[in-house]
Amino acid sequence: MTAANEAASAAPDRRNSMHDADRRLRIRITLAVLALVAIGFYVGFFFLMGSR
Amino acid sequence: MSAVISETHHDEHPSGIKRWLFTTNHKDIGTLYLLFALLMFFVGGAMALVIRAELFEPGLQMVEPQFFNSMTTMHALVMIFGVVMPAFTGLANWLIPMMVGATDMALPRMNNWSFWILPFAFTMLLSTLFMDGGGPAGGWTMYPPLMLQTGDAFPFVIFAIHLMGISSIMGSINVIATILNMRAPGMNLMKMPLFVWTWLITAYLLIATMPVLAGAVTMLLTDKYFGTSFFNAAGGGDPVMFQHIFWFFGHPEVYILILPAFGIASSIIPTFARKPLFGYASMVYATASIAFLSFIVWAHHMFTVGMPLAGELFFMLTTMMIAVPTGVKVFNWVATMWKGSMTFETPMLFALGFVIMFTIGGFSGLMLAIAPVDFQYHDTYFVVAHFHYVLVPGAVFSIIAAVYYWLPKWTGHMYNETLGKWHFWLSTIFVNLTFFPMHFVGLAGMPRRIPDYALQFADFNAIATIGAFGFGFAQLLFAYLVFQTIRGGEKASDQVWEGAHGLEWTLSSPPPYHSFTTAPEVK
Repeated sequence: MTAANEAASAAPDRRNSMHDADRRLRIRITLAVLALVAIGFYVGFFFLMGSR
Repeated sequence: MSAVISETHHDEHPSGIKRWLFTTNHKDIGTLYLLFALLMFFVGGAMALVIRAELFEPGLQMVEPQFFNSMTTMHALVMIFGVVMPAFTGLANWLIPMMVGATDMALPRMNNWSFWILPFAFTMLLSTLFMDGGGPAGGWTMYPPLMLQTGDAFPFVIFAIHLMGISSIMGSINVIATILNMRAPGMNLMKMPLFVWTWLITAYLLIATMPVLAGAVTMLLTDKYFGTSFFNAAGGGDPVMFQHIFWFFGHPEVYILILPAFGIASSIIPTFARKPLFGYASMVYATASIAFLSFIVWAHHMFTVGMPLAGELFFMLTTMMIAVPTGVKVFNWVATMWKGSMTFETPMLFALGFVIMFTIGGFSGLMLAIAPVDFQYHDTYFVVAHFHYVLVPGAVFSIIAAVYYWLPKWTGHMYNETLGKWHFWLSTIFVNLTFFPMHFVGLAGMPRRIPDYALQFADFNAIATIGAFGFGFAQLLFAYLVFQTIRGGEKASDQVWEGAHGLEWTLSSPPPYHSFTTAPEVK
């Protein structure tokens, strides 16, 4: 590891990256959960009303 | 290395039409939403003027009754789904990443899609006016069996509503994903600006209710074309069930149209009172309480269908309970101003107009919540007066206030303050001239959605029509001011307003293409 790299890894990374893997994963989980909720409400209402 | 390449890739952005078609930038998409809302404001406004021109005097003189009914239906759909909701989404796009210290929205490509669905949806909706049988004329509530009499327009309206719903749901998922995952270090939930909070709660409301609307209109579609009987009494269905499903969506929708306005007022009033917002935490809890209550009040829209007394009592009392958190909010805004060093620039004027006139709409809502007297008010112009006070000097004034407040930040130029003040006073005078007399004709028994009326209502209707045309023309001044400010003007500072606080004011005016490439310090 070069001296510059060592300095960079020691300093806290304040770059506001869109490509942070952990952040991307959390965003995708949020997307999946919310999309499922929306689809669930749509389909659920159909079954609820159809079963009357 | 790949991270470096992908970071720099974002610095290239196309120009011309491609920039707007393919953009994934939150500021560009925010601008698109806001310009779309402005365009639709004039389309929906023109429809309102057709309605008011017909109602200027008793008798039928301007348009056919069927077209009049189309105008009331389309005016509502355009103003709700094409103006207020896109305008709030535009503000969310512009402001949320800047307020929470993010570079952009969490899902930028979906953001592009959310917007570009809308012009197609509205082109389809508006094209129904030229179809056999005319546009939809059963009211924006689309109650069957009347709605099922729509001509060729019917499936196009249903599909357009589906598209609007998909756009809203995707926009909401994006807002939630951004707020939950993209906040700068130190920006915990209880440090977020109230506008971000109100939008977070609004987004949850949208995700819970838009699929319900989509379900209801799909059931209408299958009832009309596929032989189902969800709402057809002859086939064992129940038309009143549609009303229950529709208003299960419709009442939270009312709060979708007003919660972001609360966030805007909570941003602007502290700035021009030069004091921090009074009762921040109580504002957050009040917003959440309003959102919760909005799910258990829906049948107050249908007291007259003949429900059990226990049902009427339940929905009456839950509706009245909403006055408590709403009262907390109004109290907090007033307490914020108490002994503040107040100045009255245009955004503050519109925000104050919002607080006062929205409260008038809130009070008439309380009157309508009283089940026994709602039997008198139901389907009269009193209802029209009530929801227009909530939506025009309420939601629309808050959007205008927000545009004046943040336009210098967005464009880097100050707007013309004198013209802004003219815009405020003309709007305020004419909006009251339009909607206040509707309380009187409503209490006297004038029904809504009817192109003709009895002679005793003539004077107040003439006044309302004069007010509506005045209000409409005053908004041309707003459009002129906005475009004048975009083109140039006095340079705005980064802080813009002396009393402004928040991360967005730490950026340059106009802000860089990507807001916070380095996460800001939040104390």
